[in-house]
Amino acid sequence: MGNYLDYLLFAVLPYVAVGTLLLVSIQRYRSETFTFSSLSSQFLENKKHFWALVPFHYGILVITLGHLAAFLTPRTILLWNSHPLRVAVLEVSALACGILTLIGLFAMVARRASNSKLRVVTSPIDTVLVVMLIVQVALGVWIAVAHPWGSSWFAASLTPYLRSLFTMSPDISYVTSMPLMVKLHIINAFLVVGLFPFTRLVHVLVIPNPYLWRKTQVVRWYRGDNA
Amino acid sequence: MNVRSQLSMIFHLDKCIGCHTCSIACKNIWTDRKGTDYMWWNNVETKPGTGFPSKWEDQEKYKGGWEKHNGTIRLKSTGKARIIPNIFHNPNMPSMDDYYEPWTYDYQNLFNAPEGPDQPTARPISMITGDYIDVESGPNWDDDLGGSSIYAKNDPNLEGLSEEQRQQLFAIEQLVFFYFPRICNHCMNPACVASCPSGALYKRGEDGVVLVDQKRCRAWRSCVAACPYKKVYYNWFTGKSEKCILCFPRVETGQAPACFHSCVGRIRYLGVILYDADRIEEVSNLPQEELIEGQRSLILDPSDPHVIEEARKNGIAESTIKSAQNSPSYKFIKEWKIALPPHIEYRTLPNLFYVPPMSPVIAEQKAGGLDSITEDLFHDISSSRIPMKFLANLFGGGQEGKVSYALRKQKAVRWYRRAVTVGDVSMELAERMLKEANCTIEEAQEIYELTSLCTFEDRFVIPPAHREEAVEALKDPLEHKQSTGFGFLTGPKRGM
Amino acid sequence: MSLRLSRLTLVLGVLLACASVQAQETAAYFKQNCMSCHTIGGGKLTGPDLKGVTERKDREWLTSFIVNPKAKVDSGDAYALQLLDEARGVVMPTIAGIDAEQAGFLLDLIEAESALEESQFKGIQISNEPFTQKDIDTGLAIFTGRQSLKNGGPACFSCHNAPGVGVLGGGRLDPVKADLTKVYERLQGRTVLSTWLMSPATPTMQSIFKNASLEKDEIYSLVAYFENSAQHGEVGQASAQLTFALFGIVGAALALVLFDVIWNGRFVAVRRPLVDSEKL
Repeated sequence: MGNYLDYLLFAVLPYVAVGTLLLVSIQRYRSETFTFSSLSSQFLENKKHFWALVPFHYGILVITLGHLAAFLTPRTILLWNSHPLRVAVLEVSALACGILTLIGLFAMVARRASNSKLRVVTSPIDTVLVVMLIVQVALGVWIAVAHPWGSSWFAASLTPYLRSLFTMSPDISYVTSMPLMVKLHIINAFLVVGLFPFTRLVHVLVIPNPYLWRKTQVVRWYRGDNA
Repeated sequence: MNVRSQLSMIFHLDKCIGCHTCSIACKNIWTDRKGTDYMWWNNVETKPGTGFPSKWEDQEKYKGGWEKHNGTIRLKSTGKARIIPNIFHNPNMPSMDDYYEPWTYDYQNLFNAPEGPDQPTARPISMITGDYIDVESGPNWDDDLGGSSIYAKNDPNLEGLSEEQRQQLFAIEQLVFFYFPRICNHCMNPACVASCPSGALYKRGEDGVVLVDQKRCRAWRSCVAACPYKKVYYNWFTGKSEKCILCFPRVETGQAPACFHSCVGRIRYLGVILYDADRIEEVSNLPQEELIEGQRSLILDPSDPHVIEEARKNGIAESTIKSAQNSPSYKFIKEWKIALPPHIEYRTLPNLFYVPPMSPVIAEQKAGGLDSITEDLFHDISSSRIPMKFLANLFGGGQEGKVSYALRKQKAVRWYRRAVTVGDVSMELAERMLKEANCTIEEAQEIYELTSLCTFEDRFVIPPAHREEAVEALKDPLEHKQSTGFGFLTGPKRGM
Repeated sequence: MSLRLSRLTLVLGVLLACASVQAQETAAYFKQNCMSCHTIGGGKLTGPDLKGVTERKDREWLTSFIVNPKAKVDSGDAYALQLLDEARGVVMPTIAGIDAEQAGFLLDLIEAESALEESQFKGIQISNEPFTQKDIDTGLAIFTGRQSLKNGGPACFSCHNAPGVGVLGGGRLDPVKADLTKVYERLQGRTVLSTWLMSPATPTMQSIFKNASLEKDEIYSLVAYFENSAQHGEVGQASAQLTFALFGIVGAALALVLFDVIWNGRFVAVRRPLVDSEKL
């Protein structure tokens, strides 16, 4: 029974989640482009916004990049981690960013709860999302403290698992023996990925990359050529 | 030379009576939707005053427009590299509190209140939350210097005025003000377009109207901060920026924009100008005192055969060139030089120009009435109740010369017309004044006709849009009132 | 005729190939699942030496024991209880997903290996010479990762704690079992520990090290280090974790201060301060 559940959670759920992300995002972009927006509420409340959004975004950005690095180049992480002091530097920075993210998330909740204007622009799915993110980040921080050193064992144990997912031959033996908190972190991560295209998170997909190299001024002509 | 055409606007402030009809016309057409309730694409400010949003001209705080930096210009608020760290929280973004919280009234209470000893009242309700609120501010809260002296005293244009001048300006029974109607300037070097990380804002090649592509806007909010005139507004409900569209659906069908059309004082003029797009950057980078002349030099003579040839090469329609030759804007800006750009020091090269207002002189009761003519024919210009420095801060990029030139010419035209129609002033004197104001009799006659006797067709010389096939033009705009907005024909559904 | 012969050769060849593939797979299986407790001809570890086990007991009994050792012990089987006693009460763990067929392959393998002079599963034989300080130091270097493992395995430090690895301690993937200070005692010395290291048997380590097994000299140094730490080291305290958490909190607080400094000139409000200033 346990085996079937593990299989469902670690070998089926990932594909369902990523499939949902891809299909729904594309469909939403094609049929409801207008809804692709970060739905910023800075205009309605400007002071607490700083203390919520800045720590959250910087925290989550570093953390996500860290996970991505461990996934893409586990060797580099292990090489960096080949000295206890370097492990300490990496892990303390990562933990600080995790705590920063958590502070930002709680500040977001406090900010939205305390301002009646903001409640008007808070949808049920926003609430679901923020709860899931808090769970996710709290689990991450917990794991960092209770099960060190994640940067190393992630690269050794979870990277092969994630890679096995990518090669369409899921090998769940890497995760089934992981501590419960780690398992929950993985499951919730896939749930967030699945929820992603139904939320305001889609703004991540349209980050303004051409800005850095486009011409300063944008001119559009009826005849279609843009200069 | 890269000739482009541009719809350019003139507001003749001497004729503005501050009735807000323009604002209402605009509001009823474009900004009656949820989320746009606080926006006033057209608003009328009382000067001196802090305007809407409060103190928008204070770029130390708002960081709008461009600044000189290492020999070139850059946006004050953001830029290509600076957008990255600032995208999560825009450090120069004003909040609704700096505009106002939009409200309506609980009118139903007037009908439904139970019988009682008091008259029922209609309390103000927030249009955002639906709760009762205490109204603290509005889009024209300091209208006619009403309510409080706080606003007028804090007008950023008072910078450089002496204490005496300030006291004079606000002295009881002498205090004076004028109106300053504002719409988007559809700048030649728009800061909002340059700041948009998504490339959602753009300038239309054919008529220079600056628009926000609602499908590409992602609510990064850079445009709101970057526009020094605070004329890009953030729709708090849809999470998209919106701004004045110069009523392009009307303009494309040959009608004047709603605010122009409805103007009671007939202060507004609209016409095409041709300008050299290759020199925008160079001109934007000039020293502040050369900016006004620089922008004038960008605007090309539409009758010059060389310009016409270059315009044709750029695909500008014959009808547009012809329209430019009849443009009232070109006359005001370039021929007569009596229309001046607002705050040229923001370096966006605005395409809305203002004819500065005349104001009463500081009256000193003397025997023989007030119209005593002294040696200095234009003494009343320099001793206007509105200090020249104030107008210069607003329209002259700090230079009083540009403003007084415009005012002297206006006064000379008046005196010339007085000599013609009333006759209590000698034509000799009038001609002397015209000469000193650098104005010929023919020009004076033209100015008089275009300011006093102007018809619809004189004021609005709108070129055919050549967009006959455009989908939008064939649809009924009222079909989507309060739902669709503009630009595309699916509802502006807020994202999840 | 020749055609038929060649066909036969082909079939035989395929069969042989299959058999050898099967043998190879079983060998790997043995290595992963059995070798941490058993040798073939290398002497007793936690479990008995399996050399000649098929002669000591019949296959039926052996198969049922391998498939479910606990059930056999619980049934009160005399020989099973004797084995339990010899193993000092350690019940042999049930291998996940094993069945009678797999057990049969294992017994075939054991039988074949027992017949050999020297089985590949004889285990590692470490001399009883005392370890040098150099061995111990090398062991620590391998443990912390300063000296990387030749076959690409991650350093022990990633998941395990032991003395001499710094203020914040080593990893604790499993908070209870991860401390290896006294592992030398737990596994009763050099032989068992070194054999265990040859093929780590916990599910987590198994999956990581199945393609990255340790070299003999690496095992030697590690055993040296573990012996030394068992004799002189203190089991790591939870305070290391607290220190780590504290560092994280301080880091986050510093970041907040930094944000405030960087964006010190950020826009907050214009209208309200303007109005409030007059009210005073």
